[in-house]
Amino acid sequence: MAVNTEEELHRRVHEAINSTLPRAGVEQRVLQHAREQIVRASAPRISWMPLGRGVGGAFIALAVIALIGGALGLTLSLRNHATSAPAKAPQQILTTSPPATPPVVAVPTTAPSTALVFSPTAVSFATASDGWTIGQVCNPSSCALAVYRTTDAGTRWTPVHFSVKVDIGNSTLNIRAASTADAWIWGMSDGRGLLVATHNGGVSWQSMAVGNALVADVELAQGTAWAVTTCSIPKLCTASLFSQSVGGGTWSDLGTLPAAVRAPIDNNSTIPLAQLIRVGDEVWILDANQQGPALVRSQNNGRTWSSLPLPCTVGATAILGASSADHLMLACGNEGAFPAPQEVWTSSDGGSKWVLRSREGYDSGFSPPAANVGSINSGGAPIGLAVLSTTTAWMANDREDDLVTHDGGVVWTHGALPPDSFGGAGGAEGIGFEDSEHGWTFVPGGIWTTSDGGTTWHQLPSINVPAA
Amino acid sequence: MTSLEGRSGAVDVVPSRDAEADAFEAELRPLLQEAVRLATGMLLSAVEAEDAVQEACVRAWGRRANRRQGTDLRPWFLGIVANQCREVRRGRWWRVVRSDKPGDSSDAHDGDTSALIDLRDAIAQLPYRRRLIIVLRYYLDLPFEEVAAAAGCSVDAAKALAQRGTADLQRALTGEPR
Repeated sequence: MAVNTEEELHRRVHEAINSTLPRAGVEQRVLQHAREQIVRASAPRISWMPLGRGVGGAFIALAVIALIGGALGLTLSLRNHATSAPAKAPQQILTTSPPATPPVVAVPTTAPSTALVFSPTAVSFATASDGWTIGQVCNPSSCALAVYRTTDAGTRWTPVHFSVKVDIGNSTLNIRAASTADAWIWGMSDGRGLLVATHNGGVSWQSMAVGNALVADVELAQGTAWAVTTCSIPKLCTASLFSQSVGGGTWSDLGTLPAAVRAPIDNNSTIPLAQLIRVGDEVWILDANQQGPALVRSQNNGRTWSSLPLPCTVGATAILGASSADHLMLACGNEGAFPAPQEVWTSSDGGSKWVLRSREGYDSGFSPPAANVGSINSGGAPIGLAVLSTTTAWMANDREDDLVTHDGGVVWTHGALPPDSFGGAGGAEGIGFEDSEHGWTFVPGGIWTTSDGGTTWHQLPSINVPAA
Repeated sequence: MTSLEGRSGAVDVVPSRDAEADAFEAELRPLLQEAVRLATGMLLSAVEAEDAVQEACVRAWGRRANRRQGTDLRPWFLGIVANQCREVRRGRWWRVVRSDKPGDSSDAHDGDTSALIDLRDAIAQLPYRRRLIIVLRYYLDLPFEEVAAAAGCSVDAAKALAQRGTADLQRALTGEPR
């Protein structure tokens, strides 16, 4: 059967596919089941039951697929979502048993039907070999939070016992690793701020009470971990900075945030978008609320602060990166529009002055329209930025491949990552570099790493979890 | 609605989660028919298509924060549906229990039905991106600008992929070598 004209192709394709359309009422069923799934995912965590082969395996996979990206709050490093429940009372230090199970040997093949597949929602490597990840393992009825760490660059992952109660269906969690022993998990669970740390490889977790606040970011520098908190409008609080030694100990309250970045969350009502950047004694806090964005800097480890200009277009979200105390890069995106208009600005004086490096998508639909500059693919919107030097930076994009620039942000090209995983409406969930050569990026389906500065990327074997 | 005086003026109090869900659902509802058609074209299975759109709805809810208020939901949501279909296709090992994939029926067909089955099989053989473009263009009948927006590529790339996809289909249907 040859199809000779475009009209005929339209007609034939319609006929061929129409016969497989779902039965009537599909829209209502889809909405109803989606609603039930959202409610179910918000329910308290349930231990998943072992399932058999065959159909059981099939449903496991369906649930994994369903909840990989979906369970309401996948962590994009700056995209926490929150609700308005009150903060929890301070928790005790939790001590758990060391992991009893041996390291999971990751198998770089399709998971057998008796295994569940771990889906990362956040990743952090302290060194090229020492990394941590947090994510989910789902079966049809529930999802379980899971934390793993590796000491061999991701060849093998060891399960980490994480006993902190988390509402997995209504949480956004992130992770920061300082070593194989020290890691922080933070974010929001059931509308409450969460900040916990381990300093013994996950044997025990220390919880930090943050009152009504939500925890927006944790950054490491100079032997300390700093956490920045933010508030939601219904539960006003004092947005603050906290500090803990990387090796553990009590948290210190470094004081309230400067007024410019202390406003409660007003971005889409529930989205905290505060970012913390530290380079030596220099500290920046970017409040990327669309309705009141602000950038402040401290040059004396947080003792005093000054406001900096923020050049992004009104209504944009923004993400900041720094390769030194002087060199900053700011990626702005007006998300939701698709392709998403984007801009990249750089500063060589710590943020006092900004130079536009690239811009796309503001030439129509914006008043006044702004001409394109440089070359940046605007298919996605920036969600992660790793600035390695004054010339080289990597950007993770929602709904677009990771992009890389080697000329300070003027021209961006696609990273050598598989478009079937990263491109075509997919997009990365995050990106990071431990040094100029070693980096990672991930999607719900897996983690990719590079050891040559991003020239080549390799997918790590998936972490398969026995269903039993 | 009460308001608090924020840094940038009056700020609405956060709506309840239920209200937010209702509003999101109302916005999503008109797009579902198109989403189901896209998923059906991508997966060529009614069961999988329905599941994929359901998961895409959940995923869209989880990712709603990524979308700026007041902007067009359609290309954004269709992109999520397309991505969901890709993940379903990637998980082939569980598809073996499904029974409504193309070519399952072994009954004899008349010529026209056989031709449609051939076309369905040919679509099923297309690589992901070409199939996505073919379905968006020739089944959802979208202009190339919207095809590109939903597929996350340039208009030129969409046209090129459509051309290649069409050629693939022709080859498959006429038995020409690649």
